[in-house]
Order: sequence, then C-alpha cells, then structure tokens
Amino acid sequence: MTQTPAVPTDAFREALAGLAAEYRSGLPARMAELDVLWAASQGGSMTPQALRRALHSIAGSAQTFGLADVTAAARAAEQKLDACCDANAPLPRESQEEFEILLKALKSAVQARA
Amino acid sequence: MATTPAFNLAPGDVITPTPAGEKELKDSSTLLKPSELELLVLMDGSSTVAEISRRAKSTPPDAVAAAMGDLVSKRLATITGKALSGDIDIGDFLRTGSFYVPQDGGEPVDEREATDGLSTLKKNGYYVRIARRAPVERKAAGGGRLTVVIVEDESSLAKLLKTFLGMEGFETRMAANRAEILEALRRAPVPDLVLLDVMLPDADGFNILEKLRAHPAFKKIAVIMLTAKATRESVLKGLSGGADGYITKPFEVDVLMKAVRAVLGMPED
Repeated sequence: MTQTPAVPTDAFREALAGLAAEYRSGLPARMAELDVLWAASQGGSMTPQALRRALHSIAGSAQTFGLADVTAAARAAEQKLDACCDANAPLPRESQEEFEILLKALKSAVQARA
Repeated sequence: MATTPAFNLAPGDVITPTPAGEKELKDSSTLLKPSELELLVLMDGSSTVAEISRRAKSTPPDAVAAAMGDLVSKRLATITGKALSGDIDIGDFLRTGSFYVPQDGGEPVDEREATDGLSTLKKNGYYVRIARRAPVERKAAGGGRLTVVIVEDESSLAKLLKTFLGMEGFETRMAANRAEILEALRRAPVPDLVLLDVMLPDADGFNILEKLRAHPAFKKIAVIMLTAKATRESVLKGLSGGADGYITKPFEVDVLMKAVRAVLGMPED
C-alpha cells in the first residue's frame, strides 16, 4: 500500500465521539491528581515540575476533544508555573494565590463540561 | 558569500510575514526551505532585519538579508516599519552580518535584543502547523503499509492518533517513553514517519530527533514534532534539528493528516 484510502468519515466521527466521551469522563480524576500535585508542591521545597507536566498534558489535548475552554484554562495555569519550573525553583509565595485562582478556573471549566 | 538580495532591505527595517507567509507556517504543507521557514518564524512583528540576522542559525549571516529580500519579493514577508534612525549601508550589513547601532538616547540594539528578543522567542502561544512537502512520495518496503511510530505519553491522544492513522491505512507503533521508543524503532521495517511529542516522562523529543538524524539507519525517517511546546524558540529548535514538520497542540485531526501526507510526499486529498 502506498496510496492510503480516504478516511471513512462516519466511522471516524463515531470513534472520535467515543474517545472524546472517554476523555471527558477521565477529567475529574485528573483534577483530583492536580490537587495532590499542588499540595505536594506547596511545601515550598519542591519545584512543581510534575504539576506543570500534568497541566501541559491537559492543555495539549482537551481542545482536540472539543474542550477549547479546558485547554485555555489549563494553559493559563501551566504558564503560571513556567518561570519557576525553568528556574528549578518552587513557586514564589506571592504567586501561589494567583495559581490557585487559575486552578479553580480550570476545575470550573471541567465541571461545566461534565 | 554574500548574494545580491532580490529586494533591498535596510538592517533597521521591521519585517513581518504577510498572510501568504503565515499560511506557509499554518497550512500543514509547504515547499519552503528550512532556512526560509526559520526566517518567517523569527519575524515576530517587531524585530528588525539586523536582529533576525543575529538569531538565524540556518543561514550564514551574510546571506540573511538576501534571503529575507527574497521572501519579500515572493510576497511572503513585508516591511512594516523602521526601528532604527538614520541610513545604514546594506553593504556593511552583508559584510559583517550583525550590527551594533545605538539609537538616539536609547539602548544599543544588542542590549534591547537581550531582553525583548529572548522574551519573544520564549513567549508561549505561538501556534504553527508546519509540514515540508517531500518531493518524492515515500513507498513502503515490499509494497506493504507505511509505518508510523506515534511517540505520545498522553494516552487519549495516542489512542486517537492510532485510530485515525489506522483508518487511513497506516501501520502504527506506539511509544510513550524512552524504552518503548527504542523498541518501536528497532522493529523491522524501519518506520517511515515518527510523530514525536517533546515532553515525555523520561525523554526529550528534541534529543530523540537529534539521535534519529545522527543514526545511519534512521536519519531519513520523516519526523513531525507534535507538541504543546508553543514557543518560537521550540519551533526553531525542531526545524533546525531536522524535523520535517512542527505542529503545535492542540491539533485538529484533518490538519495532522494533511501534514502526514505532505511529509510523506503523498498527494493531498
């Protein structure tokens, strides 16, 4: 085979709908995981690398499954962590409240799609 | 060696992609050379010819102005302003490839670039859909199916890509970490395409790209970086590392498929 067949559109749409539903159903667990990672980062001694990775993953995937608002909210929270993660430092205390607001906005976006 | 630019640019000209230039970066199929793509990516709407010249890595400094002049001639870029006062001899620029021109009462260009330039390159939210069209269609070994390695640790996206590419008639292999990447590459036949995420749990996509391009058996595999690293700096790193395409996440499947077809030299639908 060198010439691939055209995508069977209906079959693909059906598959995409199934994958999108699966993705949405997994989001609450991912929000809970963010809480755990955020709690672990708040001690002040750890950099929030794992938390940023988790947010990065949501930001890079949600819109593909039709959740553009979730991608936007995850991206905003991820960006809040960029500077400290790049500097390999914990999130400064003065930024923690701002991050919590962004995290809350992400959860609201997820809840609105539940 | 310096070449005569098709369109004369002054080092202080601010140069920006036109809508046609933006299309080359966002249309999932381009015939532009990596060096031309690099220049278009470096045009951030405020950088001058001299600044872009200093940042470009794929084109020798004395050829950057000519290359940008060609982009202007092709209507892929346009001059949108002048950042520096006074006339500067383009010959100096072509000879030296860089400038140090203090502005009246302002910071020298080098100092300004150290702050503005770097922050522009690192700024998140730069979305592209670059895929360089291969001149010749890739044929699968033994007339079989073309093989795509999907390097993706986000399981939902990995499943989506596998489903979609499978429906399109591709053979797929999945990898979510370094060990799985090695396993997927070692299997015969050598894959035709790698869709490569950048941020993996135990590996860096740019590092993997570098290793692929240095390996005699793998250096000709087409590679599309498929990543949420949405900065000019990352896009430039991928292109200069030899990626055939760079698509920022989130992506639409039809966009991705167009890019896959382009880098494999397949006809568009």
